[in-house]
Amino acid sequence: MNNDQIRMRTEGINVPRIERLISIGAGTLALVLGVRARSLPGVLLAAAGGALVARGVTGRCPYTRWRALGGGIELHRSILIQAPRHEVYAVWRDLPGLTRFLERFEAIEVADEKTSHWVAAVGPVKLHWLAQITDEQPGRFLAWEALPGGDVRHEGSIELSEYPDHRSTMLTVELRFHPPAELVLAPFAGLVRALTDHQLAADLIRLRQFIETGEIATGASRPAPPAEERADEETTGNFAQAGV
Amino acid sequence: MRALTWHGKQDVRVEDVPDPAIVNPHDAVVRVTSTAICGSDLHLYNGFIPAMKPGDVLGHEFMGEIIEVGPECRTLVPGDRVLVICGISCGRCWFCQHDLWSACDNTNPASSARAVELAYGHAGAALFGYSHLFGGYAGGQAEYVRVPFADVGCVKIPVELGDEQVLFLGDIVPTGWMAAENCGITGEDTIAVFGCGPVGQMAIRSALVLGAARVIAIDAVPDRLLMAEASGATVIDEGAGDVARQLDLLTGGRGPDACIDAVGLEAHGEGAVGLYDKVKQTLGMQTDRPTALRTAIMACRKGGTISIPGVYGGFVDKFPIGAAFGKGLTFKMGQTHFHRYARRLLPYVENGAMDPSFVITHRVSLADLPDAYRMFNEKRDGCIKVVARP
Repeated sequence: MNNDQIRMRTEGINVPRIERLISIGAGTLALVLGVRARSLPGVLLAAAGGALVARGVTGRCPYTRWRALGGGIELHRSILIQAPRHEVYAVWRDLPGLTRFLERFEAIEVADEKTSHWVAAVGPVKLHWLAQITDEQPGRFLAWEALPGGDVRHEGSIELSEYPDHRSTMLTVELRFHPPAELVLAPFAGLVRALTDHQLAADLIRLRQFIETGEIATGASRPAPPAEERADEETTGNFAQAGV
Repeated sequence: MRALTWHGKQDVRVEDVPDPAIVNPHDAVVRVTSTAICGSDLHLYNGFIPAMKPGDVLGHEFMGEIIEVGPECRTLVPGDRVLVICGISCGRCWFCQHDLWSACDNTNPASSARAVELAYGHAGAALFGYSHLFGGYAGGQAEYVRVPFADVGCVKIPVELGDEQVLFLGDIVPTGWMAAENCGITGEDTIAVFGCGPVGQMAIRSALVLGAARVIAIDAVPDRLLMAEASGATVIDEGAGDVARQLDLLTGGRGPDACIDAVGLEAHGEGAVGLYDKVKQTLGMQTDRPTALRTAIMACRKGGTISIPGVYGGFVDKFPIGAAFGKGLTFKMGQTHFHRYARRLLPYVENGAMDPSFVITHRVSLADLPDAYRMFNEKRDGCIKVVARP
């Protein structure tokens, strides 16, 4: 392995030297032309030029890296739960019940033994897909993948194992997914990954709370009103505020 | 109901808020008969704790009567007289099971737990009335409170004991006790207690009960030093000169065997380093002022212990880690594991060995609390501990 290759591995430099020079050259040209154009397309051209220059100067291209990894966003988390493996598995296997913990998921409906319909909401955007169980060992392992034709391509698995402390169950979740409009979101892959990883972490905390205590913690002083009554709030006007 | 709410730096008000109700199956609702202002409430009052929203109800030292219980509440019924422990713990997670109650995994809601995880690496238990970083639970400076995991957090109180005798078992008595216990006290030890507020006062008494040969109490406020002296401590008045020198003289140059920092992040600083702390804090470059802690580290004997019940939140500058290493100090610190002590210390109160009510200097109504906060913060009128009856 020569020095260049070593640098590429240890410092995250993934753009070959010649390409870096071309990138700087083309980027500078685009930057200058974009700034001189003084229009919206000009701004976009200048931004693209800036990115090309940065890519050439640093030698690191996140887009190249992302493509090299097969695209998509990978999440990997584990959590310890004070409950036997089979109990944790049973909670996860009850797919419709997962909506209690998975904050962004509106509905999960079981179609048959292996297939389920999932609906997720990200702000105003609703995402639908059909998922299929591809491998299952009760109490140990569950793997699934989204069927083609849905809004989000992905595959995932959970694994349950006994933790060395002889009392905790370790739940490991692995997910690889391709967000919709993947090409547009590619430069923001890092941000998307951070946000979805944070969401997964929070969802797993809720799961643990429910399994260990039978409830999900909330600081609210009063129960949230049910959906129908929330709609009536304006008309009745005397419904107590949910939460303090 | 009426409640004491936070509205910004040094702005607390008593106003009408919705009554609490049962939300989760292990909840109870308590009607408050007595509640107190804690030294750590002053950190909220002075704007040191982030994640506060206008309208948040404060207060984590409170007791009263159960008026409603959730379906999974097994040991309590309406009418029971209870002391409520200030930290909220589930009793079932790995940490509760290992007697580490303030590290509970399950009482901080996921969103606030994640925020704390990002700041500290891991999130611990929720607290009553202590910002949305600790769960956003409404606190006890109010007429009613929703108490989660009530079986775990409520201690039944016999009718013979007055509110004032037991109220502090929910927070400052366990805090003072654990601070003293963490010193590893033997009959030969001299323990220095920095800060003679209510926690410091409890630490002084706890250290003596645990067998310390001598307790040296340090403060600048004469009323607090008098109270410490009445408990049996030798006092050092900060106003009479350099604390480190006075400690040196009293300990024959060896230094105290253990030091308790019952001051925390709002320490008063002096001299160049004090000014440095203030400037950095104002510029937002340092979050905590560790004056007492630095003095403790420098004064403590070689191989001694620093016990820290005083609250710290963020980062400190000029931390003498070299001195600590050079002298082989042990540090024990943290949010008190209240549940470990509250029930265990009740017999001390029942048989008269301990009467924590000695720290109370002011008794007020809920409506007086905003003025009381100001008085407590300014240490005016000999104020050491304020108790309110809603």
